[in-house]
Amino acid sequence: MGATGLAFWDRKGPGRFDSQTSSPLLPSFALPEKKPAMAVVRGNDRGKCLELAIKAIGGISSFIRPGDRVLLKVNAAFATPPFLGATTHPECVTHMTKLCLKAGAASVSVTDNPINDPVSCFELTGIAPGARSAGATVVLPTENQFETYTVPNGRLISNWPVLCKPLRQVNKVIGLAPVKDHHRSGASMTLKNWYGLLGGRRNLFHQQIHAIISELGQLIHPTLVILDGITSMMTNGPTGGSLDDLKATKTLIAGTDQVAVDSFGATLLGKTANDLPHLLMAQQAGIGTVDYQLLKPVMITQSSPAG
Amino acid sequence: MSGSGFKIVSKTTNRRQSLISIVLIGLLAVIGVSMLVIQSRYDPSAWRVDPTAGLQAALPGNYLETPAQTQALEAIGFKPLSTIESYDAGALSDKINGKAELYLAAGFQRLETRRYALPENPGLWMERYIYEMDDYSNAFAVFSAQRRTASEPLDLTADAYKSANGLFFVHGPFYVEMIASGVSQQLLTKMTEAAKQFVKAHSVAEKKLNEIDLLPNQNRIADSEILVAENAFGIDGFNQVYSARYKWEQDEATGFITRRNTAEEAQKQAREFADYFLNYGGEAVASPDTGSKMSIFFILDFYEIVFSEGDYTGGVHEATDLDKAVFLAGEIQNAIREFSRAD
Repeated sequence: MGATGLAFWDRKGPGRFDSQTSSPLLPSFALPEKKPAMAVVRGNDRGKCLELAIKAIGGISSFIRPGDRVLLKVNAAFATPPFLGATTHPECVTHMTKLCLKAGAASVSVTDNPINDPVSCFELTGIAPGARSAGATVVLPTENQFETYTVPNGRLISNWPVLCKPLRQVNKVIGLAPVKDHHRSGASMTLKNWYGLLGGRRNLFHQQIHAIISELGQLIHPTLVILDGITSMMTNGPTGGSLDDLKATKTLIAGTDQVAVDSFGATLLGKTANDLPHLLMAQQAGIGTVDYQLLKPVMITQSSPAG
Repeated sequence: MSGSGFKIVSKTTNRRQSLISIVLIGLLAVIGVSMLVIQSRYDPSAWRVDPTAGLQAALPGNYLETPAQTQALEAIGFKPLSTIESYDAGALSDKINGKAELYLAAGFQRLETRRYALPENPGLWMERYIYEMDDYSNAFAVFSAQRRTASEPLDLTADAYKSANGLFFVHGPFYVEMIASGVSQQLLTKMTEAAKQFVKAHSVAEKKLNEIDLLPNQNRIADSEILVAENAFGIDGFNQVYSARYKWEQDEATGFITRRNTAEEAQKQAREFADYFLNYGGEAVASPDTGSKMSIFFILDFYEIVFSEGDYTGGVHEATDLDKAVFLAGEIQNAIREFSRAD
């Protein structure tokens, strides 16, 4: 009996999940040949600011090649109209799609796993109409789009449903995120945007919000991120609800280092990276740098049209 | 029988006993092998909360909006655009995500939402959020925590305001938001009618005097009253604290008050408040009023004052001027004494 008990004794206890039960690793969508770069454009016109920002860090052709299949990961979290600033503005989607197609992309798709009903979210936010008008297709987060996935060296995203299928069908990923206050994490920007790739009861992660946001930076290495601060949600995030929650911060940021981009974005909310622990954790994990000045960001002011 | 008196039992076992033994040992062996096989396939994720469990989008039945109320909304000019959605505490974050914690910390009971459109202009619609909290105080807490400083007063209930695209008010235990799809005076007018209809349809207990009414009116900044459900001023456990901002020309301060169950608890709360600022480097300051029982500290260019009076803990937070802070604290203390005498 003693020998039998000894044989059953599990000395190590529950170990790491067997990665063989998870789906294959996602590739990195970052361009290794491109140095970390960032541009900050001040202006009112979202489309023009977007074009200027991308041009300043090498132009769209340096990111998108003919034949590329591009995925735009938007924030379509809530079924609210675009003017409330709780979701990616459809103008960003339209202009980004047009830029990619102009550069010769074979396809542009748009996706997110919203908090509310997906169809309502994509329609009422204007994202689906904006995508369709420019020639992109919307990929809804149906059950078959998810895979059980584990982030290597991750602690939280382990054998968790992740919206992987749309990512496996493309070779370039661009994140489009608004600048928002967030009741739990302090801010919601490009890193937090990847939360929309998680499925299941992801609200469980709210208890470790900064750790999960940092780990999202390990989940996805995008080609490029766009942080839309033309209008920022200053209070009552992430849902907002009143125009009084918003401020015309008139800034749009494009970059290849999402930690650096978010660090600058924090200043639009009157915060610094020190106020957002997930940025410091992401830096520590090697995802990027909070010291955006190291990237020597190109600062541009978009000229207002006359009249 | 042996000479010792014990009956000698045969040392040999019969066939039946052998068979039973073999069966039992075999059974044990099967159990053991099965356990080895199962252990080798152990998947810790099977013991975690199922990440693929379905999301609960609605609790059927027993809606706050009755058919009669739906008809009343239609009479105003609204047509339901969606079904009624209802969320309990477990599902609240499925609707409002990270903001759920604000409500869950304040006695949240349920949320009911629905979208309504104006048939003559389908592009104009609004979504109504009815948060049912456990009582008026907690409804006021979530209302005041989110109040927009640039809002306009709304003639509806004692706690109500409007913005260019929304109405926000408290009615008994309900905190209600009505958010428009755009800026439209036509839509806002209809929403106001709908809000009045809601107030009329839900009779609530008369609002009792509470701590907020003990904060002085003089020099108080309009609409600055707030009830913080937990950890007010960043102090752990400093819960259910009413506060308001005050202004005298170039000086400002926050007056606060909270009620505990007993005088002993109020005294303990006051000590914890004082300890918090002392631990962070606050310097004790002598009160200009030598007869007062207030504790005063100076930290980071602000004055902090705390006292306990009966079941109440009160004081002043982040005051720029000592004399004004002491005066305000004294007013709060006097109000508590007056109320306690009358109660």
